[in-house]
This record gives sequence, structure tokens and C-alpha cells, in this order.
Amino acid sequence: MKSNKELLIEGYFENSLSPLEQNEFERLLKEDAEFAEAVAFHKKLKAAIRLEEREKLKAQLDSVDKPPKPIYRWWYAAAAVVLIVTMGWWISSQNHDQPEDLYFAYFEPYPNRVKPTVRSNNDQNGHASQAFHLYDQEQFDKAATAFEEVYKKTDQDYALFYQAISYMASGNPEKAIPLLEQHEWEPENPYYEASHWYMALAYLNDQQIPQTKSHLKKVIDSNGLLSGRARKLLEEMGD
Amino acid sequence: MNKEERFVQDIRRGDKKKLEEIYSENKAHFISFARKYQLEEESIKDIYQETIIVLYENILEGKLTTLKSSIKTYLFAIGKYKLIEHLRTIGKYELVPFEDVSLLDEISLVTENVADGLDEQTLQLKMGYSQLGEKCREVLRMFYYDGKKLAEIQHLLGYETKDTVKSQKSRCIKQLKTLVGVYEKQ
Repeated sequence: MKSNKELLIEGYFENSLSPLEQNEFERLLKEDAEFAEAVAFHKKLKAAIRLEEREKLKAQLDSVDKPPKPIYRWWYAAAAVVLIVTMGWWISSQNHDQPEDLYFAYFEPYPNRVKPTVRSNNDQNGHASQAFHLYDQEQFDKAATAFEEVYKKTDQDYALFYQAISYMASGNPEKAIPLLEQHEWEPENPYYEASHWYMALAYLNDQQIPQTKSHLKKVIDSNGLLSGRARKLLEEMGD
Repeated sequence: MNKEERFVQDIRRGDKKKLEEIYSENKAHFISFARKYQLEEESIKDIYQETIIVLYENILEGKLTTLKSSIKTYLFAIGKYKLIEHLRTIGKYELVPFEDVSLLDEISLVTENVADGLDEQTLQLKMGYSQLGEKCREVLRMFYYDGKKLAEIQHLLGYETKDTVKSQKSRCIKQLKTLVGVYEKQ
């Protein structure tokens, strides 16, 4: 294309055509197909560039709305996560949601419901009364030994039960686990609920969480005196 | 020089940060204003962004050199027009009275609706343009979008002569044509 035609097109897009040039431009547009085609192309080019630039501008405005996440920010996030995890660990290590602490919060010796030592009738009931007497006196070490004797002689499950509780109360809950586990506590047994409760606590002290939870669920299901406490403990364990 | 004139000058110099500032400063007000027309938040945001773009293009094209009102007044005049345009397309036009007709005369709103008459070749050219190198895009953007004359581009980009700009522009167009498969007739 001749250079004067190019100049006309250039001037047209620069908005700098003189009236004379404008007339020439209009004339060529009508009479010169090649010229008209060139003008059409440049118009399309202008439209295309405008489209692209508008899209870029819109994206830029979007990024004003949502400030971009520059790469250096990831480590702020990472640092925050580390801090939160550390704090969480520290806090949880400080408060009483730790199994051992929960154990001490919930454990208390089972009341003596068998032979309340209200009267001095030791002689009449022998070893059993002696054991309960020690139990009530909170001499749990001796009580454990005494209940062991009673269980050997009588094979009564209450003796086994109180022996286990005595171990727990004397600070040896780990000894309670095999004792309580060795016996088949049937649901109709009066110690069914209590035995599962104390097994749960003994396992809790030993940080054996799944066993703790499984026994707590049995306590809850039995709907007895201890099920409320069991439910609460389960919640505090984060279940 | 007042604040408005300085703004226009900054924009014409290509300072897009200033445009971002105007965008942020007026956004909340515009959105609460546009909510009266029960439009979705997303549409309002689009309309507001288009409004900013129209303001920008008007300044680039030299249509807003002498400002009689504040930038904000212009912005809202454009914005109202854009809202009406949108309401018209979704058939809710009767909702809107437009009171600032005189203001509209001062600004060009006949920004050819690019979406109309978009043919295959334009789309290809758009694609090709985005694939060009930065130097080519700069020259073409200045000439076709920013509305700058070749002599201005020569000064802004530090070319020796106007002809250097011209040949650079021609080279870039040729490159673009090759990209989209249009070959110049010799």
C-alpha cells in the first residue's frame, strides 16, 4: 500500500486528519477496496487491543479488591500455624484434659456398700469386715491385701471388686486392670456398671484411650448412677 | 493545578495506581448507591469496574481534560449511565430516572460496545496481541488504546525519530498478522 494511504490511516486513528485529508479518506474508503479492507483491519485491531486491555484492567481492579497473596505471605501463615499448634500443645499440656489429670479428677473410691462398719462386730464376719474396716479407714494398701484374702476364700466378686478399688485408691491403678478384666461382669451383676467405670478410669490413667472409651460407653449404656459422669468424662476427653 | 487536573495528568502519564486509588475510594459509596436497584452484588461490582474503565478511557482519549466537576461526580455520572444500560438490558429500565443528562454531554459514553460486532478475526487478534512481546504490546497499546500520537510515543519511549516508532509499529503488526495467520498482500 502506498505510503500516503498509510499516512491517512495513521492520521485517522490519531484523530489528526485535516478536513482535506478527511475527505480523501472517505473517498478512498468508498472507492478503494484494498484501502477499505486495511481500515477495517485496523479497526478490528483497535477493538482487539481494547478488549484485551479492558480485561487486564478489570483483573487489576479485582486484585485491588482482593489483595494478592504474595509468596512471602505463606510463611507468615506457616509461622501462625506453628504458633497455634505450639500454643495448643502448651495449653493442653497445662490444663486438666490430660488423661492422668482426668483420672484424678474423676477417681474416688467406691463407697462401702457391703459391710458398713458402724458397729464393732468384726469377729462375726471375720476377714471381710476387717477388709472393709481398713477400706473405710482409708488404709487402702492393707485393704487390698485383706480383700485378696477374702476373694481367695469366698470367691465373692465384691471382694475382687473392692480389691481392685483399693489398688486404685492406693495409687496403683495399673494393678486394678488385670483384676477387673479377669472377671466376667454380667450386666445383671450389681457391680457391672461400677466395674466398667473403674476399668475405664484405670485405663485412662494408663493413657489407653480406646479401652477407656469402650468401657465408658458400657457405663453410659447401662443408664445407672454413673452414666452421667461417664458421659461427661467422655466429652472432656474430646469425643 | 487542582486535584482533578493532577489526577487527569497522572492518568494520561499512565499512572494506574491513581486509578486504583479512585476505585477504592469510591467503591463503597457506589455499591450502596447501586443497591437501590436491587441488583446482585456481582453485577454491581462489574458495573462499577466498567465505570472506572470508561472514566480511564475517557481521560486517555482526552475527553476529560477540563474538569468542571469533581472526579467523583464524573464517576457517578458514568456509573448511573452504566446502571441504566444494564437495567435496560435486563428489562428493568423504567425503574430509573436520570437527572444528570447535562453532565453526560461532557463525557463520551459512546464507547463502542465492544461485545457487538465481535467477529472471529477480532478475537484472534486479541489472542495474538496478548502473545506479542512486551515491547510490541507497548507500542500498539499506546497507539490504539491510549490514543497517543506517534510523536508522543516517540518521546515517551525515547525513540530517535517518529519513523523509528512507525517502523516498529509496522513490524509488530506484521508479527501479529503472522501469529493469527493473516498475510499481507504485496
